[in-house]
Amino acid sequence: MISVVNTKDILNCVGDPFIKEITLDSPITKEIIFKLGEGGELEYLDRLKKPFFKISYSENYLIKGVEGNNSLRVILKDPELKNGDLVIKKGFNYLLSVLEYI
Amino acid sequence: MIYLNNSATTYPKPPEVINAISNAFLSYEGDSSRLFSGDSIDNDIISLARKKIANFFNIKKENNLIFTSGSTESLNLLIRGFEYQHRRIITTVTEHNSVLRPLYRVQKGSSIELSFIPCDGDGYIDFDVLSKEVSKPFDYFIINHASNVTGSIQNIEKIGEIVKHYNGFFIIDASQSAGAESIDIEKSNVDFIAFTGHKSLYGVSGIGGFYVSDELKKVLNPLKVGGTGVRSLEKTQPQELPFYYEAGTKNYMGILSLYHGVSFVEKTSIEAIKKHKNRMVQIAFNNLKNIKEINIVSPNVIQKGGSIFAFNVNNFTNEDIVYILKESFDIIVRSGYHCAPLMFDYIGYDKIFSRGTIRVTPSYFTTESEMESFCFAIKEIVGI
Ligand SMILES: Cc1ncc(COP(=O)(O)O)c(C=O)c1O
Repeated sequence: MISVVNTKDILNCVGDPFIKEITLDSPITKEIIFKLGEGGELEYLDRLKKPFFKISYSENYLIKGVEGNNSLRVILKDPELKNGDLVIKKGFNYLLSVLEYI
Repeated sequence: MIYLNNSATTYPKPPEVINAISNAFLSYEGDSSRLFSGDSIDNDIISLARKKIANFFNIKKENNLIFTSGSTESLNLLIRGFEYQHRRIITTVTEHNSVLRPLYRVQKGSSIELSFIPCDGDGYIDFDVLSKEVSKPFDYFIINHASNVTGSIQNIEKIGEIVKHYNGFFIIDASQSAGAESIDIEKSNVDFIAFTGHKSLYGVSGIGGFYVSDELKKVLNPLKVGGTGVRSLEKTQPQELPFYYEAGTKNYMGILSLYHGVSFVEKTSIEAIKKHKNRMVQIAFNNLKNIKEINIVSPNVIQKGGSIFAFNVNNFTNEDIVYILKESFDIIVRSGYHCAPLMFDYIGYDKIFSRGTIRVTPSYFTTESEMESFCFAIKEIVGI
């Protein structure tokens, strides 16, 4: 099982209010990416040596990262949304539930 | 790592800066004069740095050059320490938040009026509006000399002449231009210049300063008062410069780095540094200009010798491009509004940059192959 070693909230200049960076204890594999992708709409840039992925979920959050790295991000899609922190929590829990099965 | 975010802070620092600081840390730090093992006050690093920087900006009275933690502190003092008479400040839409936020703060709950001069699509200010604005009495005319968004350089000599004609104080934010463009206080009729040490002056972060004219000093109060090492028995801050604005223990290591950073710029020459940075920017421009998915900010400024390559990519958010560059290619650039939020309604056309830009800024130490790696990465991301 892959576990989370750290989480960090990130503020960016454009004012997207909720970005959570999650560090895992091992690299993100293609298997994890496609498993995560089952719950949403997966964009997978496999033309890159280290492919970028971004998955958009109907619950108003995104998960993005790069294959082979140890960190990924859960991001609120609509910055205007109230209770953004709860949406991010949902995204984080979904990530944990997928990681449990790997 | 390929570092292309030098407008934020330059990295790496020149070897002489690194050596000077590491050597100084190994010696006794408490007394600045000992940093240079001189026993006279004229020989200490603070006096030497003050002289060197004053000379660098052609400031005749070196004590009118004050050390602070950087431009933000200098600009806060300028805007919040002033005794406003006409209660009107003219500034531009190209300003950084280190000017805008102090301005909004002094404006709040007061009758101070702010007038903003617009800029064109490349970031050059509108002289017709300027001429109208200066014809009504004002206290300050504040302008960002070099835009950290487009790289446009304002003609401060011409503006300084106009501002002086109307008897206002002429203020320059030289955060981006100090060390990158020649600045002559006398020629430009400048009353106050704010600079920061960690960008094109190649010092470390946490050091910078300002120049203040004798005239402006009369109506500009210090923001902090305290120990100066002189006139300790008096209850009020000494009126003499630089002590009036320099309360507290100084940032010796920062000042030391600034001394060597400025020496590096002088030795290398501003012209050579500018030329190199523009050559790096031209590599990106020539490699990417024909890709239809890429929109480039102010090609005119690049052609005039600019040192910023800013862009966005259709169908990608700026944040995703920056993320991919960092996470897949280990290339550091910056996205967003670059703390100059008003400018994005003016640059480009049809507001194509209204969600900010991706900014690529080389330094004198950036290599051709680093720029080529950046272009390769962008082409791979776009799928070319
Ligand atoms: C145009 C401009 N003004 C002011 C500043 C503030 O400089 P500092 O953060 O060093 O105080 C910056 C830094 O990014 C800048 O680019």
